[in-house]
Amino acid sequence: MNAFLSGTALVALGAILTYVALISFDASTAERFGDGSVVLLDHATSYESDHTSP
Amino acid sequence: MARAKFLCDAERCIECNACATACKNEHEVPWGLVRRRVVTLNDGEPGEKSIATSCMHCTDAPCVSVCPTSTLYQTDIGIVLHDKDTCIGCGYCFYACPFGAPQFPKSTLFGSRGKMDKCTYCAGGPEEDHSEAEYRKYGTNRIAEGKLPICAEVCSTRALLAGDGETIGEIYRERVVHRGFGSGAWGWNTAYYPGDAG
Amino acid sequence: MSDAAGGVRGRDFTGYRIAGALSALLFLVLLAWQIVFMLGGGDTVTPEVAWSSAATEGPDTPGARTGGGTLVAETLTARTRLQDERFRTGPSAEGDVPERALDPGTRLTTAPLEDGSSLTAAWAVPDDDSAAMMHESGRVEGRSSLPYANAALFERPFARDWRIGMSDVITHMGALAILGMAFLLSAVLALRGRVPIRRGKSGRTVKRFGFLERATHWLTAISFLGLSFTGLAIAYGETLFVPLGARAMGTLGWWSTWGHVLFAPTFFLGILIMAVMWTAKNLPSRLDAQWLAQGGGFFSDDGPHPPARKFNAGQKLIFWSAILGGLVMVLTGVTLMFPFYWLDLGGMSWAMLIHAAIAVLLIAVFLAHIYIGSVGMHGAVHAMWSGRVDRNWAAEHHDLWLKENASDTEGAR
Repeated sequence: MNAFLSGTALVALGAILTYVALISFDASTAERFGDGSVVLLDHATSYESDHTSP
Repeated sequence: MARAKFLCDAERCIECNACATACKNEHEVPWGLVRRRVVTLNDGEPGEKSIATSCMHCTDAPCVSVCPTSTLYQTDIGIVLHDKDTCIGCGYCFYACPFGAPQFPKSTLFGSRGKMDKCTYCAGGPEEDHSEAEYRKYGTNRIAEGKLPICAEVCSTRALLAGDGETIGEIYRERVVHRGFGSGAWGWNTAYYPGDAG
Repeated sequence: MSDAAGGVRGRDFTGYRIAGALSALLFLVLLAWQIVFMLGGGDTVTPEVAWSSAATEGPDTPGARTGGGTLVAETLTARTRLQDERFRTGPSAEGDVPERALDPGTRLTTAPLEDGSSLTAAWAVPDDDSAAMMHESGRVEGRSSLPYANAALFERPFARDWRIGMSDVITHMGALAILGMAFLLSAVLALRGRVPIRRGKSGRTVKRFGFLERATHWLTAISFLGLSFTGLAIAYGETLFVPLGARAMGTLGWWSTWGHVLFAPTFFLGILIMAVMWTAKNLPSRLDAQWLAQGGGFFSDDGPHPPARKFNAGQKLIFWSAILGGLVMVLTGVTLMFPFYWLDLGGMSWAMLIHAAIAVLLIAVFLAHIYIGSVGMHGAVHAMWSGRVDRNWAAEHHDLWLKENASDTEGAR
């Protein structure tokens, strides 16, 4: 019983730690090529400015 | 019935990348993703050829088959579309695609790769036609206006042909007869005639 | 107290046997459904959405929808014609613009399509002209000015084989293996009952697993269950969650993809500790051949139970499945988590196939492990729950181990 609970608690802890690790190491595909080979810009889409709805 | 296909005449493609640029611009494709790209074979050697490639909208599409959440679906003119609301970023389509079309906004991890993005044949997605949601997720919907993909329509050498497969096949064949050579419809065997491959 | 009529027999567990029979029936039905589903040829992709032309009358005019498909074809074909040689067709000054090609009022809309299988069949066969103009199928990779991984790839016919391996072979075989194993175990329970303690419980226990052993077991077990359920949800989500609708399926799938990764590190930790802790006791020995030859006493109560030390041959097989299978899963899994870091697309495709194939096998194998450790054998569950087992259970299943440890484990409760 105690062993079961300990194991379960450890799994839960591991899951939380992994989640935090995933979030902090996450990178977008563009960032991955952030060595200067791709120019990165952050801009809004032009939907508002020049898209005319039918 | 029309069957939408892409055909790139490798003898005509001059690797100007106008198709890729127009696609990026038309759909506001996010940084890090390319729906259409140009591949150059035998670069700098005799027999150099360039081919513009993207999702080919296959017959019996492997991506649709392996998708565990029915995110991918095909329309009756052969266009393969995807629903970003149900995509789980598992990457099965990415392994099943013969043309390297599906891409993910996050490059690192399985669960956090984000929603898959690929060429829509300029046909939007499951959202309402010309809605903002459709535009933000999939780009413009030219098919709904009776137009063909922007990449083919901007092609200055008319190397890249889109539209009804029979018609572009005719155009290509006439061209080949006229000039006397042609390396054939690249990728068609794999994309459109799965039983015939090999 | 011998093997005569006085001993407890597996058949005496009537309640368990009824439950086993019901469960066997259920899995038989599922198995039959899976086989029908598999042979039904439902793997060909068919169109699910139809285009129709709303023409100029607005999108919802019902009249415009009739025969819409032909209008769509005409419209798109006319537009396609525009790409012909410029001297022949518009928009050049000399050419004639095909009718309908530049109609500003064109509106094409989509609606669900009932059965598109005939379309796929028609598309898949090239006409003579198309067959003659095709470039042969084959792997083509060139150069690309883009910095993205894989951008230089043009064509990779292996992807079609990958799809067959994934969605036709592994998915179906995995379902057969898992459902088949569940059916067999249920049938064994129904026909033979639980593996009994022949002499009944003695009421005196001996210590079998220490705290570290049990905690490690449960650490690995919970991780494995988490990985299995999320993995099954990803692999079979389309079948399992169909009644819930596409959106719910997407949400569950999203959680599963995330959750799948979260259980991985503890699983790896678990199998590492187990490998260090138990490998020495799980090396094959001559007793194992005898144990396997007698089926471990699994199928019959009669005759002497094969001798075993701390781990019998069955447990050793489970141990090595967990260690070797687990290592393969972790290795391929971590590879898939970091696309392109050390394998190319071809390598990752194989990693994915191996990951899926080993996964379904492990699930089937561990179904048997879970069965024999719980309902399948009387008294077995205490070994991992409290760590203490009944002396008579130990004497029947692990007689040599009990003799070796008799001196230092003497004592009740």
